[in-house]
Amino acid sequence: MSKLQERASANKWSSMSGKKPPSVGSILRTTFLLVMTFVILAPVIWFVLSSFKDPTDLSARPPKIFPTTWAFSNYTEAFQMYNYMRYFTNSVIVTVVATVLTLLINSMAAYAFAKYNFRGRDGLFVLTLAMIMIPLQVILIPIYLVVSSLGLVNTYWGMIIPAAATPTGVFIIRQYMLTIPDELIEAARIDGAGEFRIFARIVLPLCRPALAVVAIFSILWRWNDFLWPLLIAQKEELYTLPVALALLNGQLVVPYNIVLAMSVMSIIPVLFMFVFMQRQIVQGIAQTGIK
Amino acid sequence: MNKSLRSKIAIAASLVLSAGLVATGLPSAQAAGLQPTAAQLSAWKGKTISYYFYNDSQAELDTTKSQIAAFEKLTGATVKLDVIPFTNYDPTLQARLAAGNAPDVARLNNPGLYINDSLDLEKYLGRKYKTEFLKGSTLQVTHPTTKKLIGVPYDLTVNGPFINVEMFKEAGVAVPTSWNWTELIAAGKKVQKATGSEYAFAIDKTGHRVSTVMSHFGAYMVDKNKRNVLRSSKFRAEKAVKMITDLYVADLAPRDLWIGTGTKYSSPTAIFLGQQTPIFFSGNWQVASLAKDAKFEFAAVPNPKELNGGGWPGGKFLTAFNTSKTPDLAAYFVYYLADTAQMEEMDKNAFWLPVRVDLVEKGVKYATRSSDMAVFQADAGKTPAAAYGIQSVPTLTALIYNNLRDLMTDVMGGKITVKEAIAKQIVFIDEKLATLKK
Amino acid sequence: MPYLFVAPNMFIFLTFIIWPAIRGFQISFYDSIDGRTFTPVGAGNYRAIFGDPTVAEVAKNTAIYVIFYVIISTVLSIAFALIVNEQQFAKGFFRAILFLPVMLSPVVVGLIWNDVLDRKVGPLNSLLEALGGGSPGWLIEPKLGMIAVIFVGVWVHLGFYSIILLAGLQGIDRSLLEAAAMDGATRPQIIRTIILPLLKPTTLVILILATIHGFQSFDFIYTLTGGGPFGATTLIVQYIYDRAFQTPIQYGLGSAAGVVLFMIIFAFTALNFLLGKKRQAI
Repeated sequence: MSKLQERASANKWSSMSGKKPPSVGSILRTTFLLVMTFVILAPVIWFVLSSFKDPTDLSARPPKIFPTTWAFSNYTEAFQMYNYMRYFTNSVIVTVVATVLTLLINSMAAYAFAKYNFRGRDGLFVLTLAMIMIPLQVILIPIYLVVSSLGLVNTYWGMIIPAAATPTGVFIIRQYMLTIPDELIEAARIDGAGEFRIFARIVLPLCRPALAVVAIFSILWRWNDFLWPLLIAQKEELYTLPVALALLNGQLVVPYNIVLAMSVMSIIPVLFMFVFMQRQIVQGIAQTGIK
Repeated sequence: MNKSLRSKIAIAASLVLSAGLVATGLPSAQAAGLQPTAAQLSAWKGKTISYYFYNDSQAELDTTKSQIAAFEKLTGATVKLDVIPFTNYDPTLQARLAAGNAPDVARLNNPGLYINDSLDLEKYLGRKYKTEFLKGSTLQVTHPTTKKLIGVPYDLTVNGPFINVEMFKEAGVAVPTSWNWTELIAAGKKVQKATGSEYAFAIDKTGHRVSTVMSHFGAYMVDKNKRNVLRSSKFRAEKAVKMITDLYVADLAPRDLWIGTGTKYSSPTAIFLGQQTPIFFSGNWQVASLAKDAKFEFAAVPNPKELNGGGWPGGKFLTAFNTSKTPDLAAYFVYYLADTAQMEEMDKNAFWLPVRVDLVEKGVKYATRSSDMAVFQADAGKTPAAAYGIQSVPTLTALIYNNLRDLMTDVMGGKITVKEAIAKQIVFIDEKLATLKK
Repeated sequence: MPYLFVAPNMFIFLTFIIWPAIRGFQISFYDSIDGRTFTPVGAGNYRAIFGDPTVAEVAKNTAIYVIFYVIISTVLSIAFALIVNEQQFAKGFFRAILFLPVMLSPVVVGLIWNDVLDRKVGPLNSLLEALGGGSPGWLIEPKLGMIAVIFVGVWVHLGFYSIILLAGLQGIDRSLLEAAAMDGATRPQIIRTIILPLLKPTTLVILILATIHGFQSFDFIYTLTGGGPFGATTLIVQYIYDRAFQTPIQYGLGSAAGVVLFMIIFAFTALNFLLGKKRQAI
């Protein structure tokens, strides 16, 4: 945006409480936000530019902002070594199915925690929150024993089901459901609606913003998951993008320029989603009114 | 016994031993190879085995895939290739073993972890089979108590330096054909000054590579009888380690890469490829990737010689697991991948050094970079026998190397002195060796 | 009926987390180098943890990290939420930018900052040099390493917390603010006396989440510093990870450390939850 436009829109500024002209405060605010934008965007842009650099440029001092020669070979090589579409498809399958399942079971649990009084409710809720705190790393072998005795190794379901129950999802939806008036549910009960019907027809539609938020987080989590799919998928055809990215790091040889290119390729779908859906994402979150 | 006499004896002994290392074996090692019998073939038809595998280069993967195809054609069996990222390679395999879901065959870099899970190959391939491989190379795949062969060496790696020939030329420094460490460091500094490169020298961040330098100065950590020999070669070790850490402290070597990666492995490949160091101390496995990525002329040069020359041995292994439902097929798959024809193909494609006696005698003809490979091959022959000593404790090697690496990090940060580092390492080795006796 | 609703979620927790965690708890009383063969050691692992100087160091690092991370994240996210909320021009754009780092995978975050913070070839130091600020060794000096790791941790999650707070701000009754403004209250007064108190429940959520995130930080740190320089950024989860994955593998010790970590976070969360409940906050 040009300076002129900026100034033009600046003239239309008004603060929340009144219709004052651009104050010192609003200028400070915008400057502050521009600095923040720089701190967030600059490293990401730098990283993307780095992925087009050859080894000479990567170790040049002082560092070069733009590559001297654009090393598209980082990407072509990565594609040669790499069945990108296969891994991409796997990532999409796991992400989408897991997210749908997450929304269903998390909202069910959240409903019980928010709208029912039952013995052990608080205990179970704290237990649910506690699930976030168990480091997966340390229970790897016990988990593997369970997964493998259920025959889930090397299956999509193995990557999907265990990860679908997210404590944070339950937490976010529950917080939102607390804001739904109990009278609404009572009224439906008096009208003779079944419990599942109330949940599906009345509560869920009201929770749309919270569900949107959990959907987005679930997508991000599953898309970026590493340890879990690594454990479950032990053949190349089932690898997701993060696992495939790890394949690039050999024992002794790590082709850094290709790792960069592949990392950028793995965040592109997410960035794509971000650019085209940022309004829905951010407003969805802003509307949840988590309290 | 005075020091110089002792070292002369050590040299003489190592010469004899390393000569023996290459020359033993069967001159007429089963030229025809082992062919499956008709009974085996009918039993194997339609069977499936899985192969747990990781790769350092695309060539390794491609060659493995084509060899599997040939094996399937030969035996009628199917091989499921599981390509696993090296991150968490061993823990994932441990988890599979724990769940009774073990692969039939695996490529391993740390076979010591699986000695009780590995199939006794001698039962299927005969007691003489191990003589097809270089003598020292089977130490890590010999069961410590039964002494049976529980795997085969798949390749031999040798540590050694690479140089950027163009930078050497620019600085007017001759490409070395033999040198010692003082000359190496002087050359590095001179080239750095002349070319304005960031560093004079860089080495992989591992105790394994540093052990090469210690070996040059005649210092070792464990001998073939599982004894701590660092105590007796302490001063030499201090000299070697100080030389390396001094380079890092003075910023003549990439300190950031070493310190800034915590307890992770890191290799200055990118720094060498970016022409920021004229000398890069690594090993022959780099040849494939350097040949692909270097935009300048580079060369492998002989290891510097102080008391000793030569490299430091390493390698990867193939193991079959004793939980296999078709152990004879699994053993035969190992045999097949490690037979003369397949090994030669793999050595050529992936720039591996041969570990089979017949291939060493015959010599592997690499399509490119043959002079580099010849340098490593020559250094393999010059490697002192004492360098193989640490392989007598296969379950401890990684621990000992990593501890050395971390102590060096502390030295570079000024937390401890080199003397203290070596003293701590001596105690550490004592402690670890004591755990074996329990 | 409510049990039916919780069942699927709880079933998955039970099968894939709680049951393995109970096994992990059992393992914490054994010594194991491979997760398959176990030697009972009683409470030996716990004794080792509480007597080990490395663990003391790790605990100290974790405490420093969590305290700074939680405080900075909370304060900054409140500031950002207030500022973005007041902002009229390009509000959506700024909100979106804030959220960008949340979407990146931790490994990529580590790679990005590794690139940016490099002492010699990183853009940050060449910028600082141009400004005459020297070139600090962000990733090779212990104190700077910790600062870098806290900064990146905040960088990643700030958008997440800010947006939750923004949501909280939407819930504040506007008429209340307008009335105060009409009574002649200044903006800082309004923020201090009306907005911040009303934002308390949301702030509590942020505190809970940030504490958990803080204790759990691992992936991006592992990629960024590997726990270095000189162990200064080795936090408890990395310690656990190392014991389970890196030589020397000591599953029992790692499990014991996991149990201890779990108890600490559990205590914190339960405390937060109970305090919040007392005040009718959540």
